[in-house]
Amino acid sequence: MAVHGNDRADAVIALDIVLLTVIALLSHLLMPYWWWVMLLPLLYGLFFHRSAKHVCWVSASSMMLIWLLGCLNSWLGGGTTIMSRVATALGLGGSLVLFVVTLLVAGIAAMSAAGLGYGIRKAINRPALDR
Amino acid sequence: MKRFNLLILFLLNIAIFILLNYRHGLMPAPGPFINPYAGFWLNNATQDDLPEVLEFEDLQDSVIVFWDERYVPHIFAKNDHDLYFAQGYVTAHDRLWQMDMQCRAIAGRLSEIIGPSTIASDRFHRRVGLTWAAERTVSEMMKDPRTRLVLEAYADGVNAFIASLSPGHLPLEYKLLSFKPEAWTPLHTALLMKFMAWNLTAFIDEPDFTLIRARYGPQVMRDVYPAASPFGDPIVPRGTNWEFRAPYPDRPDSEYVMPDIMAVAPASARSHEGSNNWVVAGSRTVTGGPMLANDPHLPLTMPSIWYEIQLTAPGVNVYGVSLPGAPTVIIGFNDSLAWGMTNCGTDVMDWYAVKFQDETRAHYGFDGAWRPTEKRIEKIRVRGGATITDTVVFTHHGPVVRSTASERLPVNVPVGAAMRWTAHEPTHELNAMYDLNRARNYEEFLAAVAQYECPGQNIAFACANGDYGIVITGKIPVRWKNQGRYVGDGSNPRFEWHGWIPFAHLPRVKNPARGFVSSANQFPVDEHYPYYLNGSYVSHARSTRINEELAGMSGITPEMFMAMQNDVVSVHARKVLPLLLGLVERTALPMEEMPPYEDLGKWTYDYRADLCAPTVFERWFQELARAIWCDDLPGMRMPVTDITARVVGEPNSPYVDNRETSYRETLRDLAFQSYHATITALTSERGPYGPSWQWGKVAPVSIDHLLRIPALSRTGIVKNGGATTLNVNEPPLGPSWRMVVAFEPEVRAWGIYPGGQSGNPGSCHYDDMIDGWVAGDMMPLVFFNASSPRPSRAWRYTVMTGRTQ
Repeated sequence: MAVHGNDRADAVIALDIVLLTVIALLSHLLMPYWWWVMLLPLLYGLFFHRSAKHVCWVSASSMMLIWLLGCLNSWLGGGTTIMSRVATALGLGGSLVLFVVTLLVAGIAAMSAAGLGYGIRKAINRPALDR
Repeated sequence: MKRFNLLILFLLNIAIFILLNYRHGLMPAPGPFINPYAGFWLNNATQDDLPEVLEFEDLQDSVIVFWDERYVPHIFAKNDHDLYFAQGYVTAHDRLWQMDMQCRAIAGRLSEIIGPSTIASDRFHRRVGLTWAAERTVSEMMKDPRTRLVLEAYADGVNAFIASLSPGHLPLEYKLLSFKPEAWTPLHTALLMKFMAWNLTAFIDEPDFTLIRARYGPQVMRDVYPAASPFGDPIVPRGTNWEFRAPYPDRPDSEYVMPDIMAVAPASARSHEGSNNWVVAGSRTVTGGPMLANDPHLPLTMPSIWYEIQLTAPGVNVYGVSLPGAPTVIIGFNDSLAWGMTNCGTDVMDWYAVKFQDETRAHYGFDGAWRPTEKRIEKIRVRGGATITDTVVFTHHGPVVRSTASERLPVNVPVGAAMRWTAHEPTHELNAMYDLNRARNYEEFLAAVAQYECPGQNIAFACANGDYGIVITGKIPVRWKNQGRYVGDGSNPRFEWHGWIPFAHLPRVKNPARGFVSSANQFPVDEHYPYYLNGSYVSHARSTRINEELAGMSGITPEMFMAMQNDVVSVHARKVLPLLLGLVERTALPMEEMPPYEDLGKWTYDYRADLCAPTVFERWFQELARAIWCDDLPGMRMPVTDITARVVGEPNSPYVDNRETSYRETLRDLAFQSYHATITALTSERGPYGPSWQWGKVAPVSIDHLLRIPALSRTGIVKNGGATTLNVNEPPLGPSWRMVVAFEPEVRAWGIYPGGQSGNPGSCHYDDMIDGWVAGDMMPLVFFNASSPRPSRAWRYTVMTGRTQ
C-alpha cells in the first residue's frame, strides 16, 4: 500500500514525539532538573528537524506530555491537597488552573528552545540528520 | 534579518530561563518549583509513608515504629541510643523544615535564606546571646556521657533522614525558599531549648517600670503595677508554713538607675504565655485514682510547636508531646506518673546600666575598678547582599543588647544596659526530661525536676500510687525586695544576684487536704514566703475558675476535666460586669444603646463565639481602662486587668477622676462615658448591633504557617473563649496541647493539639486535629504496654535495622 506524504509526516511527528518523550522521561528520572524541557528541545531543534513548525510542535507536545505524566502521577498519589494549597498560594484559583499553567510553562519553554535550536542550525546552515 | 530574528529568539530563551530558574523576591524559582519530577508535586500525601524496612549504619539493634490512625509514631527500641536515633529520624521525617527554620531564626541566621528583610531580627537574636547560651549549655551537656549519647543519637537520626532525601523529596518550604537543610548537631537542640526559655521568660518590664518609678514614685508602682494580683489564690495554699528562712541580701541606697532609656517609647505589656494544669486526688475521682489535666498556652503555628510520640526502650515507656528538634517527651505520662506544665513567670532576666570607660567599650566600671569587656564578632550572611558584621559587647552580667536608642530592634530593651539571664548559664533541662520520662514515683519525679532550671515551670504530677501535687521549678535568683523590677546599676555589686533559691525552698505542694492542686500562671505563694519573688503573673480569672470548679466537684471523670478545659466562663467578667451595669442607668441610655445593655444584663459571662455580649464587655472594659489610666499615667504601660477591675470596685480610688478636666469625675461618669464610646466605636466598625458583633467574628483565631503564607495557614477560625477563660483565646496564643490523664489504676489518656502530626502541607495529617480542637473534642491516646504492643492491623509500621544485623 502506498504511503501518502501527509501520512508519512504524521508518522514522523508521532515517532519524534515518542522518542523525545522517552528521552525526556529518562532524563527527568535520572536527573530531575526542570531545564530538560528546554535543553532537549534545543538539541532536537539543532539536530532533528524538518521545519520550524515541526520541531516546535513536537517539542511542546513531548514536554507537555512528560510533565503531564509527572503531574498525574502526583495527583493520583494523593496530590489533591498540595495542589489545592499551592494553587491558592500562587493565586491561581484552583488545582485545574495550576495543572494547566504547569503544562503551559513546559510547552512554551520547549517551543521557544526548539525554535532557537532550529534557528541556530539554519544560521550555520548545517544539514539536518535525516532518518 | 534572519540573524536579527535569531538574536531575538536567543534573548527570549535567555529571558525564559532566567524567569524560570531564579527566585524573584519572595517567590520561589518557578521552574524547579513546578517541575513535576522534583518540585512541589512530589510533596503529596505519599511523603508520609516510610518503607517497611530501613537500614542504618548507626543502629545497634532493631527498632520498630508503628503509626496509629492519627499518625502518631510509637517507637520500640532495645536501647537508649536506638530510641533517640529513631525519635530524631521520625521527627525529621515529619518536621524537618520546622526544626531547621526555627533554629536558624533563633541563631540569627534567617537572612541567609530570606534576605535583607530579616536582618533586624537576626541582629537582635545574636545580641541577646542565644547562640552563646546554647554553646555554653552544649559544652556542659556533652560532659555527661548519658546526655551526650541522647543528643548525638538524636542528631544522627535527623542526619540519617537528611541524607536519605533527594532534592525532589525535600519538604515544600525548602523548595519555596530554595535552600537545603544543614546537618543537625546537638547545638541545634540546645538552641531550641534556649528559644523556649526566651519565649517563657523574656518579659522585659524594666525600661517601662524604671520610667514609671522615676516619674510617678514607688507608691504608684505598689498600687498599680504589683507583681501579684490583688485577687485569687496562689498556687501554694495561703497559710502554708514555710519552715526555712531566706537570707537578706544587702540593699543599695537606690533601687534603680535611670540610663538613657527616656528616648525609648514605653511598650505594651507582652501577651503572656499562660497555661492551665490541675490534679485531683484519687478520693475525688470516680475510679479512685488521681487525675491530671494540662493545657499549655503557647503560640499557635503551622506546623504545631508539638509533636506527639511514644518512646519505649528498657527503663522507659513514655507518651506525650515532644519539641521537634529535641529528644525526650516534654509533657506526658508513663504507666506510673503523669506530669503537666504551666509557666512559672518568675523574673530570671535583669538589666544593668553599664558605664563604659570610653567609646571603645573595651572596659566598664564595676565595684570601683575598670573591667575588660569581651567582644563577640557576629557575621550575618545575607542572601543577595553583603555580609554584615556586628560586634556584641559582653560584661560579666551578660551581653549589651542595645547600644543606642536609634538602633532598630524588634523588642524594647533598655539602651546601654547589659542583660543577665539564667538561660545564659549552662542548664540541664534535657537531663531533667530524661529522668522525668522514667520517673515512677514522687521521689524520682522530684529528683528529675530539680534539674529543670530555665524556663521555670509549675510542674503538676499524678502518680499511679495515689500521690499528686505541684512543684515550682527553675533557677531563681535570691534578691532584695524590688530587685530586678527596674534597671539596676551595673557598677554596684549590691545589684548582683545573691545566689539561687535552693530547690528545697522552692514552693511545692504534695497531697494537700483540699484534694487538688492547680496553677494558671498566678503568683505562686502568699506574702509569708521567705524569699522575694518578682515576675510576670496573670489575672486571677483562670486560677479562680479552676479552683472553684474543682472545689465543687465530686465523682470526677475524665469527661468532666475535658469540659473544664473547654470552659468559657470568665470570672473576670463575672466580677466586673455587675458593678459596671449598676453604674449605668438604663433609662439614661439612648434607644440604640439599650439592646447591648440588656444583653449584657442577661449574659452568663460565657465567651461563646455566637454571642455579642463578650464583644461589648471586652470593648467596654478597654474603654473604661483608658478612661481611668490615660490621664494618670499618660503614655505609660496600661496596668493589668485585675488592677483596673480593683478600681471598678473602689469608687473613691484616686485614679477615677480625670485630671485633665476641672470637673471631678465619678466612676459612674466613667462607666457611662466608656459604655457610650464602646457602642459608638463598635457601631462605626461593625455596623448596627447584630450578628456582626458576635464574639467569634470579632476575635477569630488564625493559626499561621511559620512563613505566614495564608494558603498554608488556617485563618478565620471561629472559636469559643477569651483571654480570661480556661479555654483561652488570645491570639496568637492558645491551648497548644490539651491533655487529660487518669490512673484507673491503668493509665488512660486523652489529648489534642491544634495542628497535625505532619509538617507536610500535602498530607492529610497536616491540620487534621484543628477542627476537633475547635469543637473541644479530645482523642483517646493509644499507649502501649512496653512488653506487648498490640497495634491494629491497619497501622503502618517500619522496622529499622543496623546493616550488620
